[in-house]
Amino acid sequence: MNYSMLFPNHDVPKFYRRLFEGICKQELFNELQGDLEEEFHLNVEEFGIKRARSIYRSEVMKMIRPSILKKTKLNNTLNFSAMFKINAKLALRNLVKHKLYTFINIGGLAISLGVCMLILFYVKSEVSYDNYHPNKDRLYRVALDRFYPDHTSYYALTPFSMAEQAAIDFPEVEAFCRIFPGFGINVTYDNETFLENGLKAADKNFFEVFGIKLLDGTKEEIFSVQNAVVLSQSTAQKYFGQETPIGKIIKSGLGDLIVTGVAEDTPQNTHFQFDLLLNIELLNFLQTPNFLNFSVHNYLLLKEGVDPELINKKYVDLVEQYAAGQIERSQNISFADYKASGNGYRYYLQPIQDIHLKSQLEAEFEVNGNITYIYIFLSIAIFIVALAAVNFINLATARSTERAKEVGIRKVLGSEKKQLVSQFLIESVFVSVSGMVIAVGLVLLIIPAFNGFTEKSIMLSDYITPMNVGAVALFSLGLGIIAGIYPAFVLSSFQPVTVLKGKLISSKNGSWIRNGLVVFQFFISIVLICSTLIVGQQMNYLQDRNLGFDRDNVLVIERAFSVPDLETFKTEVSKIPGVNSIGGASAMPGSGIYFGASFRQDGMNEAVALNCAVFADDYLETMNMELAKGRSFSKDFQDTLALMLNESGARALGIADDPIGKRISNVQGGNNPNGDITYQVVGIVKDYNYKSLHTEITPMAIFSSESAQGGNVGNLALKIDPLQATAIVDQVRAIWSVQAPNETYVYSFLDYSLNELYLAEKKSGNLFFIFTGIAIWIACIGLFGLATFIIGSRIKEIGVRKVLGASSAKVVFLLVSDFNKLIFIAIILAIPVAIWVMGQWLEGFAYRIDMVDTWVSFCIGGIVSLLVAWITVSYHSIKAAMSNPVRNLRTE
Amino acid sequence: MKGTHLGEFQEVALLTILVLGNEAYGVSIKQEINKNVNRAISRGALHTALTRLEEKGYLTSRQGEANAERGGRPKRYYEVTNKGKSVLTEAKETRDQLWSKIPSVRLELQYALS
Repeated sequence: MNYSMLFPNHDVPKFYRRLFEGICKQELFNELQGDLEEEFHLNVEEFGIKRARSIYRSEVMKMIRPSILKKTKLNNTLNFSAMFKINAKLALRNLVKHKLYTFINIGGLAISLGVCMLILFYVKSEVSYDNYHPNKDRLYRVALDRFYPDHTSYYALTPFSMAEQAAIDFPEVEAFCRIFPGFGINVTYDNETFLENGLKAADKNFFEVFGIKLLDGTKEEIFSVQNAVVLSQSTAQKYFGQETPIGKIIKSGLGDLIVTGVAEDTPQNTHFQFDLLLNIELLNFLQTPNFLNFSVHNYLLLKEGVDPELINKKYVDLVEQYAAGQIERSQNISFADYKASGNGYRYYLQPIQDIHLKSQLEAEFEVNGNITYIYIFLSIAIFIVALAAVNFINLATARSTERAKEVGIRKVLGSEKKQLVSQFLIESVFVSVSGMVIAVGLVLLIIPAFNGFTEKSIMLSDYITPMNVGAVALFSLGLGIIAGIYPAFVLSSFQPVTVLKGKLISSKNGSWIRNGLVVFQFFISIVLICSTLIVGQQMNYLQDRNLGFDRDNVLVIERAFSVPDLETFKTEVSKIPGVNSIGGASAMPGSGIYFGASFRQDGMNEAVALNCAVFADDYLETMNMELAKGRSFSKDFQDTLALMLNESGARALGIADDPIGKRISNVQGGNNPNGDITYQVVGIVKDYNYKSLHTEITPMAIFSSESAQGGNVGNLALKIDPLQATAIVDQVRAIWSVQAPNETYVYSFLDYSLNELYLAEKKSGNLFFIFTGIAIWIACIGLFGLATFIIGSRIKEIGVRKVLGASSAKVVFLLVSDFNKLIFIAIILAIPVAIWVMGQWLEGFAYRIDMVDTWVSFCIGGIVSLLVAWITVSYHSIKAAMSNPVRNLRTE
Repeated sequence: MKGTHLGEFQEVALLTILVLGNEAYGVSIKQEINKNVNRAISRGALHTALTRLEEKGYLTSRQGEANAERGGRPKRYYEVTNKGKSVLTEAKETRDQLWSKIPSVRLELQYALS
């Protein structure tokens, strides 16, 4: 509270002065405030403004004593205060008397509010991504829709010069910054070597464009030398401990790096993270002007008030101007023809704050969230609170028969309607407020587990602000009033004469509302059950889908290029017992980096861009991938000029019918127009999912490790005996440490890595599952309570039926069938809604279950909800049906 | 608290008002007490004491002038009534009587020798 800025002439804290005026007796205020103010000014002179204010504040707080406090209205109007007290007392007695009812209400409310709060925390942390950058509203990332003749790919990674040229050519651009996504390198300091995977490289103005704080070093000078590196705080701690990191030299695969700065650890709510940040100029391979090859994430800071659409339009011209030439040189066709054949580039700007939730492109820094889940979670939060509120209304109206006599007597004794309404409202507000208090307690208990589950670091203390506390208090008050208002008016409008005569008992009045609310509850529950089941179905489908290769029992040795003599290494490893076969590839399915190359069938003019990988001999066999035609690379052949394609690749090149033996040129273009290398297609691999199942299989070409593209084969895949997995991992480590003593040994299991691709879905799916369970549970306890009262009111009817000869089973059936009708209506309403919602969700998957196949889920959902309802209701039904009719009828 | 009993703090307040004479109002009383008795009291606590004393008839008060320092709010000056003065004297006499009855030797501070 900076008052000195607002009130340069040293005034007392405004809020406290107002507070004092509010609480102080009118006739005393002038005198006391005068004294306080005079003293305040004396204190200002003596101790300074800050101390004086704090004294003033504490003086005001000490004024809270009976001789000074204003008499409140409650105390003033004796009558009202007495009424309030008696109402509160009655409400409390009522709640204590009906323990089950109170438990259902308060417990249900507490759990639903707790869940609601957790969801809100989760959502809050998801939407807070990248909200801390200084010019976040003007900061954009350049993304690309790349059109190919037969498909479209969506990239977050764009060519190196895209932002730079935009900054030069477009006056609307204020600044640009590029981030290179990085790779793993070994870093050595003081004889200790670490494998660093959190490497990124960026332009000089990184710390001006992004809001990540530089703790040590100066923003302008961090990258004034080429081999500069900025470390994150925890990385610096790891290498240097208590020493000053600035100026230290660390050794790495990229040469010696000099530490010029230490940055705070990248805030968790950022769409990228880094441990080491290099000067992008150090990466020589990036430095040539390039408008074609995707290499970096480009960011643009636009000037104030510029519409990003304008830049999107300008990018069309930029592509024509700069990229077209490069394409023409490399592809040997005019850009117009190239576009006519279905190729195209559409660059566009993504607001930086949208990246985490709305961008699911290829080559994102990390798996992003999904805005759909945010909406789903928010609706679940609302549903759950609605369910609890419905319980409340339902139970209150259902109990009206029971409370009718109380109302009658009170009216006879002179209660006004207003007073009765206020009594019922006080009761419901009490329930909702205590529900909220318990909810906060529950959240406190659950938050650590919830954080572990969602991998977030939500701190409750971050949310305890006067604003939020006020909002929560208001909300619980409002909820109590909303939930209580209907029962309050129904109950208080009873005619005392009818009620006391015992006529009213036909609680049919509110029954349609009650039934409607039960239908509503079950409608929501069924939608949730069906949706959860469908989510499960889809996840299983992804898990079990034939990916086109074996995912199980494959041990992947990463960074195999670190071993100087790979052949010896492979021979040694293949000797380990339990290793069935061994194959190498530049990229493993799902995780790899594929490079692009253009191919042209001999005699044709047009080139096609394909994703490329390099396979060593035996890779296909190790991964159990199927060949559609031809042969795979093998020791028996000289494969320098042999090429394999996947089925889509063969189609893209137009040689799907008879591919084997076809001659395909790898178009070099650029500086080397005559350097095209002609390959012969030797085999066609059946399409397998080499990325994730979110995207469709795209055309791919496979070079042999013996070819010019071969070089290193980064990953070795070992097909192993699962029983000996641990031993094999250790034995490979031993061999590795002999052959590549200074390199870090990194391994993974393929099925784990593949599951990582669907982690976001899996996590959300689990959350979804839990929330659904809670929603159903809340609906059930509501139904349970309702059944208690409804059956209670029919107990005499049951007695009469039994006296007249109905069997217990018949009576149970009768009671349950009432509820059946409601559940059936709910099922009929719920199914179309669930179909629609889940259809939307499934859209996000390239490979998804057929909606028709989800009928199982709907059947199960319907049956489960019926069963749950029966079980809930049957307890009371059976108890009522089994009871002795004599006892039930005796009082009449 | 009821009746004529004079609490210790109330006695201090009355004496302070007498010390201050015509200048006894909230701030000055508070400062004087803080200075002489070496204890920090709040204005609120002082108000309670003054109200009690006024109820018992030991004090009268009148509204005084206002000034800018006080945000234009008037002061309230307090004055000890005759009843107040007599109750103070009474209290002092009671105390003196007690004092005079104490043999001087018992008043010497005793220190343990071991």
